[in-house]
Amino acid sequence: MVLVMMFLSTSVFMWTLSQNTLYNEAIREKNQLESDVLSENVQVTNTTYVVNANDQVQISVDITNPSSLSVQFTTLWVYASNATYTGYNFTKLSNVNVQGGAYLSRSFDMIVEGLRPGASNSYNFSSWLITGRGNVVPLQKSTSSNIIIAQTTQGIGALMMDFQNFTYYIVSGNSLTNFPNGASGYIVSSGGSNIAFRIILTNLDLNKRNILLYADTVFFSIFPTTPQQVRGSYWYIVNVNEQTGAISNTYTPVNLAFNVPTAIYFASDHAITPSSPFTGAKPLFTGTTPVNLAFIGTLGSNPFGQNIPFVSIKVVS
Amino acid sequence: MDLRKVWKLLRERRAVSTVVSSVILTGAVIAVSFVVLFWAQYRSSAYNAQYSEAMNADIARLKERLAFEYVFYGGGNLTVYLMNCGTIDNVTIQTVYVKDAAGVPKQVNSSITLIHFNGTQIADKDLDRGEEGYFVLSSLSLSTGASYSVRVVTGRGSTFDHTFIA
Repeated sequence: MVLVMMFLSTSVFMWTLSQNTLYNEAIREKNQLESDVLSENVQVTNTTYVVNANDQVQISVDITNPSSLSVQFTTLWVYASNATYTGYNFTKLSNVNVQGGAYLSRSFDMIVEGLRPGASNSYNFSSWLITGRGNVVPLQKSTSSNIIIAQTTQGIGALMMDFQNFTYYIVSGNSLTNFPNGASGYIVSSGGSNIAFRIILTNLDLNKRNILLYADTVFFSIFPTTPQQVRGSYWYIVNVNEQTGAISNTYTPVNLAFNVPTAIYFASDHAITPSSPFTGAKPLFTGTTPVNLAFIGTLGSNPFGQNIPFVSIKVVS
Repeated sequence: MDLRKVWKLLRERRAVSTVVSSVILTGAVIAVSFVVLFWAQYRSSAYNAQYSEAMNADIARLKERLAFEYVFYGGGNLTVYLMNCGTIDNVTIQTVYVKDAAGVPKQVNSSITLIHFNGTQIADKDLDRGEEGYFVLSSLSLSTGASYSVRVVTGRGSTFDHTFIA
């Protein structure tokens, strides 16, 4: 009898112990999960918003993950509002993972009904990413304080040129050959062909207004061929299909959103108008020549003009 | 002759033998022991089942975790977007409380309809691991710009709170 009772009580005790072990295991897993959630330390900076079409906004972000955990993003949310409008939406993300210590720069296209390109300056955007562990990571906007003053070309203009990415292409018909790589724009060998230049511009307007570049925007150079007889070559701004490298016969003003590096192409021998479509332009002369980028357009709702004179090229043939 | 024997038997009545009495006593003890054993077995099984049920419920509750992706108030409707980021499936929403900053309830709703992010109703009425869904509380009168909190109570009894600005 005693033995039977001892057996019974021992089995109950052991069973209770196993249940407690299961519970402790669950507690340990829970603590690990909480620890992982707290250890996620992702920073999303330099967020820019570009309303590039009706109901569409492009969000560009730089994601830094200084922690040791890899982070998977599942959803991106955006909220937009102005005095008369409020809208929000989300997009499911796939394969947006950032390994521990890694850096990722990405752009996301989102649909938010009611957004209109012309009013992009007046929108207040906020957005956030959801991680697989359930954390909410706010996207921090670019702020003027993030920009080195030397970059802003303050006193010169709101546009900054990327001098490291200055490219030229041989133009065949309406196509840029060897697109998108091209060749360095500082040494040009056209071989008598039409050529096009690509420069990367960034709008660093301190008031974060958009800049529209009109068809009169021109890339021109003065060749000191003989004393007192300088010669000029010029290439007007064109629209280029970023996927195919095809030059459009017509021109739609290029929009430069704040702090978004944008490729601008110059290839036409005249300012494109509806009655005067694109035609190519040659260098015409050889030798070393200073280049001026003369921009005409609007800054926000105001007229805008800027000249960037800091580039020289050498045309060898 | 027969009468004498019967008389003798009546006069010489004595208890049963010790063997018989021991057998009877042992039998009684064994019978009681088995009764006690079965009773103890029954009680311990009931205890085990009850304890197991409580333990499993606690473990399941520990594994639940809901993330509030977004809470939006507009047009008298409060839309709450959730994701199950825990380690257990079948997370149901039992009750939702909306309170103002002072803790005064604005709405208590126990009939929640979970909807996929694509707008279709969630058929199994729960959120599995990694699944996202939302629900809408209608007929809410909140002050724009004021702070409120929403508390979600799951079917397993876990609570998740989130503060938002209407």
